[in-house]
Amino acid sequence: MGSEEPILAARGLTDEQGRLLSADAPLVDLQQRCGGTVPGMLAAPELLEIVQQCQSMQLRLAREFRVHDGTGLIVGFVRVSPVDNAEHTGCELLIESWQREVLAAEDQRATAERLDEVDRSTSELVGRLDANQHILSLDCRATDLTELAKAVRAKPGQVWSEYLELVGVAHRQPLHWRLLDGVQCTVPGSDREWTARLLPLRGSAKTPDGFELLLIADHPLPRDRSNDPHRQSPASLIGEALTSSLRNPIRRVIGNAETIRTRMAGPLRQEYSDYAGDIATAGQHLLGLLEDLTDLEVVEAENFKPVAEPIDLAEAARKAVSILGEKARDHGISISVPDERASAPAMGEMRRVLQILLNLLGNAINYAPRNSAIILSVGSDAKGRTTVSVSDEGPGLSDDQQSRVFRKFERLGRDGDGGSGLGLYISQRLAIAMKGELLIDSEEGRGTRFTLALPPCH
Amino acid sequence: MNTPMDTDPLIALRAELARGDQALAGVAPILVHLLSQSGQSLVSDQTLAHLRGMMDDLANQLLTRLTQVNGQGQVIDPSLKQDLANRLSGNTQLLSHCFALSVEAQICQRLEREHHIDQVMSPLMQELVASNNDILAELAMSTMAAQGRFVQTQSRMSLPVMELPADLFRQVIAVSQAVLADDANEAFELASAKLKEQFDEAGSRIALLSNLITSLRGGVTAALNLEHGGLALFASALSNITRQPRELAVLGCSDRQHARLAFGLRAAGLAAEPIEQVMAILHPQIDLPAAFTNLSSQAAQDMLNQISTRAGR
Repeated sequence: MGSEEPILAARGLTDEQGRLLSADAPLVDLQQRCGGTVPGMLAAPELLEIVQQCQSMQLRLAREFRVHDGTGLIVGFVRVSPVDNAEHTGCELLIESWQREVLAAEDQRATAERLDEVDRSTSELVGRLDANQHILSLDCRATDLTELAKAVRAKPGQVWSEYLELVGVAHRQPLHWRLLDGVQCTVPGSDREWTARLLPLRGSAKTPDGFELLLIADHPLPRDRSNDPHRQSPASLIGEALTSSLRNPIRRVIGNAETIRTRMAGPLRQEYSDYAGDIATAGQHLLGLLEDLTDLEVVEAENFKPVAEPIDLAEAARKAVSILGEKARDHGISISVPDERASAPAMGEMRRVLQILLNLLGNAINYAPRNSAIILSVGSDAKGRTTVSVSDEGPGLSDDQQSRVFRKFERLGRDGDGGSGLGLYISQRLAIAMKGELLIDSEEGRGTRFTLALPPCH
Repeated sequence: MNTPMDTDPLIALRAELARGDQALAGVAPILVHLLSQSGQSLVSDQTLAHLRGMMDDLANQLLTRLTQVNGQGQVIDPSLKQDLANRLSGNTQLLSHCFALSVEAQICQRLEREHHIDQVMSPLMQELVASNNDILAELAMSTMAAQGRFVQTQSRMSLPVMELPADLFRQVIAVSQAVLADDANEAFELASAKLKEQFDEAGSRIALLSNLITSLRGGVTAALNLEHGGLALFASALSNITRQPRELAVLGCSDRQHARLAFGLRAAGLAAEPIEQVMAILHPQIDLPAAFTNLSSQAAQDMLNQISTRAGR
């Protein structure tokens, strides 16, 4: 009967914010168990709430409270009185009766079930055992368990503990499952320490029909990066697989938007046609960005090595112009190229050189004023390297801009023109990869000249 | 362990709980409406008379204490009193609290009449008063005295203002201030400060019951035996264990609220037999579905919590 249970009383003093300033031992104990300190904020939420109510209403309160102190439930009755005098402003607590409530059996079962679930989800080996703890089947994921799996395959049907070493269990097996559930063990071929769980299946707890065997490691296996097929270089932005799966839908967006823009499927109001044009332009931009990112990934890969073969830079320049000549004419820009007789032999990869020239020429067309001229010329520099240059009559770049122009994602403050800020960065990386160099020579208001220098061909 | 098959037969009972709660939620607004009607003839029900009495009594006490600082016998303006009583009736929280008190008093009377359960001195209360733990015995004595006063004041249809929970006490002072705003504020300030000073929730019957229930933690289920503990301790124990407001625990004992009571008792961990005993006393006409026996106490508690949240309590 309740009358025989001890009733403790404890006092405490809080300040206006609810900080416990001083308290009798049982209350100090409770405060510390709840993770608080004295002096310090009242750590039990229900007590704090009552104190705060008392503080705001300035009335004497008397309430029951419940606190989980980490090990159990404390139930008690507390009186809280506002204190407002010369020495102190805050509240006085008087806890009149409190006792610890035993956790219900159901809670313990629920906790045990939860722990079993955690173990199931983290185990790296799952096996089925029969009623005598002989292995029926085994499934393991970790690479350091393959030796164990091999041993089981070679000599199946043994008691599970035969295949590994139980720590601190001298008795030969099988022991009662309750004694083995949670035992530490070492597995041949694995450096990690393992915990074995035996979870009874069906039947009664005394005589189960079989068991679920779980092996849980003390720490996860460090990932062997070199064998990981999904390994991405640190600079990886988008991944090759993603690029190809993005490219197709974007192409469809552009294609369909073009269809709408050109009214191929029937009449449409001008506004809608214009919107479709915007969609197509945005799609082109997205596609360009995607290509740039893919290139970026390629040039930044550690193993990127362009082919070094004899090429003609003059021919590369003529090819580039044949591709972008149309665009230049649209912008009212004339381009002069090395004539058919000129040749500039160098070592490099034609495809990559063309990529660089297209980027340089594209930039020149985009930023040079209408009716200006772009000159592509070939030659050699002071170091004996073969060169190809792209000169425009654009606004030119300041020294500061020149120092930044090759940086990744550098846009030089330009926005909304569809650039990604990657073109020159990629070009320079390509030039360097071909043992060459990409140089800039510019002055504000006097145009810009980019020069690609490559090793000469002997 | 509740598969859908287990709980399906409980649907009706669950729906009944929801229906009961809806009815409860509707009580306060209806009461506000009924009490605002002029003319007594329309309001003949005992509960309404009780409520009206309590509101008048509260208004009387408040005016007496707040306007008569020096204890000078001034005559209270009847229209002022009526005004205050009306405003208090408009506070649904206060009204719900008083409604529960009135219901408790009526059930107490019925239990004494029909089941010979003493309104004040239940067997459990006698045991506690006779406890050899002095502190507990003293607490039980104070609680018993408070319960005795409650029975008396309820039969007189009154409610001492000091018996209100702190939150409601604060609210009635605020309502009084609004009514008395025209009068000298300084005098009101003094009087209300004095009243607040005197207020101590720990001395109220409900706090004493709660304190007593908390002190006999291990033996708290003894109070869930209605015949042994009496309604006052029963309701406090049920409220304490199932974490529902005491008002709701009391209302579960009233007509058409059997679902709340049944779920509450299950949530309190009572087995089928003791639940049936309580039900036989309070809701003799109700047969619980057989599947109710299989409902876990946690599931019952979850159901109570869900319903309470939905009812916005």
